[in-house]
Amino acid sequence: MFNTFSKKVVSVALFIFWVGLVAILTAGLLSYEKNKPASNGNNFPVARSAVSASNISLATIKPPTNNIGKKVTLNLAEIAKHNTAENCWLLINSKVYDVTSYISEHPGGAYTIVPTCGTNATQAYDTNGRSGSSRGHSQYANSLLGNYYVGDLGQNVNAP
Amino acid sequence: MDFLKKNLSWLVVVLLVFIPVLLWLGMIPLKFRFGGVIAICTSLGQLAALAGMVLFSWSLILSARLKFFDRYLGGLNRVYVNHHRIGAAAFVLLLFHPLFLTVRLGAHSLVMAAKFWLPSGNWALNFGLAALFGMMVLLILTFFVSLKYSAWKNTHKYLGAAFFLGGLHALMITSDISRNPILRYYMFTLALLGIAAYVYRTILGRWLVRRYLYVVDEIKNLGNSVAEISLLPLDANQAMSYTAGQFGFIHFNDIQVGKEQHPFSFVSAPSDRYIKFAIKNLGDYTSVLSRLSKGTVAQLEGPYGRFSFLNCKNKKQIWLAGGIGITPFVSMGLYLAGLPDAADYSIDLYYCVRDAAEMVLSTELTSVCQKCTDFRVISFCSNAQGFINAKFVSDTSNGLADKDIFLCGPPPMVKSLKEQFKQMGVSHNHIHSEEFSF
Repeated sequence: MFNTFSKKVVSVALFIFWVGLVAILTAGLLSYEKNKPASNGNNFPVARSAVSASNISLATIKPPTNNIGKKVTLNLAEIAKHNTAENCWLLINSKVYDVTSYISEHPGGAYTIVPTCGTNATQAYDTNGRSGSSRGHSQYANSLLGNYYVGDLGQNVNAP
Repeated sequence: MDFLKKNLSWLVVVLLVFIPVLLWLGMIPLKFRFGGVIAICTSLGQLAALAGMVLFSWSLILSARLKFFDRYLGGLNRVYVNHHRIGAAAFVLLLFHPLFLTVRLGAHSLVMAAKFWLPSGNWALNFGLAALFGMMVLLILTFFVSLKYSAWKNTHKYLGAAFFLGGLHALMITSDISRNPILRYYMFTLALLGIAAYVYRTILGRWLVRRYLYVVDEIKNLGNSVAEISLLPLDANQAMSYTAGQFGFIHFNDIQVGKEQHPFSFVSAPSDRYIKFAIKNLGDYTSVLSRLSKGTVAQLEGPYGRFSFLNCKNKKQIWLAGGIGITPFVSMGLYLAGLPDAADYSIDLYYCVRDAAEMVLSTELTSVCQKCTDFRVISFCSNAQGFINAKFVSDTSNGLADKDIFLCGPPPMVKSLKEQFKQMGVSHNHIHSEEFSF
């Protein structure tokens, strides 16, 4: 019914998939066991580089840089540079936020924020990640967001 | 023009995938898409999702068995071959979509990367996982487990549910699809067409798809496990009209036989009052057809297929049949014998069988030879002569130049002969074949 080429391709893909998945799950389990004492008590894992924002200020977790005194303009290109889970900026309603330290605490899961790092996340924020939804984040979430404010779009700020 | 006709199916696929990739590439500068390993993995994951979703949609659309596709995409059997290949490609791409995206999470936290694969409070992700693993189970059954046709068909139809869950995932998750309205409308239009095709064929098929009602008039044992079933239309004004060489899907309203639908080539001429099928006992379904009784109602769907000498302008033709693959040629021969310009055709029909006892439809072919002056039947018994090859055909038919070749038989035989003819310089456009692949 199916030609052998399709069957071979599917077999190889399935093999790679399962090897990859088992490796990810094993590595995740080992890492979880290793970091168990650092659990935040909510049964949510604390990431290797993430630190609770309530215990430590943003300034203290930023890695040392050689950018002291340098200015950057908060435009889309600059925001897009901060597109990883370890350096995550979001543009929400023309304001730029550095939410790196908050990622691991996000109630909806870190993986809902990480794909939006370095992008205009206004729509995702206003719809809670559901396209077409009008249910945005709570007032509490809005107030939390202020803690991570970097500047307005187009503003010159000190380089991180 | 011939190239376009033969490759239209693949050109459509390339175009369908190219459009969302182009939209995706235009969203942000490429240096952000491909600047570093993590960005590249994320981009590959996103591209795999876009292409996989497009191909899955197209695969479902092709399975709707539309006459339009039958006509413009090289016949229904070719459409189904493409449906299988495109479905397999979609599955592979969708497997790699989350694997690539996990790299980005793994760079941040291995625990987070592992948790990404587990059910959570995030329903968009849950739907994606359910779609992926559901699709995996169903396609493993399709590719690697030898199920009965009816059982396979029953499991295969649940792929529509996996597609629906995948669509929900794409609709709900924050992604480039949710950020770019044109990309969003494009992807969801295709997905909706896929779902519409699935609903039309699989869920509402029994009401929406036209079926012709016939009754079994005679069941004749032709020998060598081949039964000829003759059907008469319940209403003469509601008879199916078809072209010689085409096939139809048939199912019988008979509990003993079961209501499964199967494709068979017509063996009668379109001008006949009867529609006839010659069916060889090859397995579970065909083995019970002998239990049919006169008067049983049959439902016919079709006709389908582009495998006909009438679709070819060249009147110098070579027809090659393997075993029960003779059926469309019998229909074509009988129809040819009644044409006013039958004498203009020069046709060599190679009837390849294991031994003479397998030539169960030779009587019909003899009558064609008597009516058409330039119609030759060359019998070929593999037990005595070995497998037929292109050189033998070329030597017997005085060369292959300026001839169109029609092949119908077991897939390995058709594949081997196609390659041999191509090696002997016959153009791809002059080789026509029928391989059932449902």
